[in-house]
Amino acid sequence: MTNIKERPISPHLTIYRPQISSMLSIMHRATGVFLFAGLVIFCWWIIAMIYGTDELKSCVSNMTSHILSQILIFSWSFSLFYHLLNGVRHLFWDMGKGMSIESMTKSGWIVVFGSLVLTISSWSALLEF
Amino acid sequence: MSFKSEFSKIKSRGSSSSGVHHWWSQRFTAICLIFLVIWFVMSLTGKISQFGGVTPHILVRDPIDIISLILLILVAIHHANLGIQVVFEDYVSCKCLRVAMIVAVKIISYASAFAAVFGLIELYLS
Repeated sequence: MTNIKERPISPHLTIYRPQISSMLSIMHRATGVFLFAGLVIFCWWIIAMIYGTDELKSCVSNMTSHILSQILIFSWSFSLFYHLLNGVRHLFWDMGKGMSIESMTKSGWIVVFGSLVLTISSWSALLEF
Repeated sequence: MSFKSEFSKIKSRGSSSSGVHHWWSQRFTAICLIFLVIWFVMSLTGKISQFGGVTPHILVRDPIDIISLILLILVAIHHANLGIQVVFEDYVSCKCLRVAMIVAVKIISYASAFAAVFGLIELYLS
């Protein structure tokens, strides 16, 4: 008799074709978690820059100006716009609107392109001072 | 004839009563965050264009800036905790570990948020 931990299950991630519904849904969760981590680190940055020793402040400044940090901050901003737009999509679903497959697909693509547009436009606005 | 005790009949049945509140809080904080995030993005890009870099000092120049930023941090941390609770509930099967992780994240995130908020207020007043 197989142990309870060894019972077979049907394949899922290995056989299901990625679709706009499932991919955007998991992205919403992933961006949410990433945004949370970034938010807490933002709070730590505030605390460090206000209360830190000069040594700590210069260390933190060097870390944040590193290209890796800039990439992370850029990803965080994309996550913010994505989670915001997809969140609005979710709120419409909560009101019962837009739940047909056609609407869901259309709004899904609007979310993806909208996030890219918002990210790129806000960063270009930033870098053109 | 059922030989189950009354208690065992109702165990694992029905809500523990705080589910709907969780659902509504999540939606309400989400709506608030729509406005707060839009404000924050516009304000931050304006400030960075003006000052070139980012320090906490440029974030706390006017009372409206600091009040909105504090609201953003607190509402976002609350919304995030509600969300992460659902994530842990979905993926962590062991009950003690699940509870421990939700509690640990809650403590760390709220403590960090309150410390940051206090720092911003102190910075503004100095």
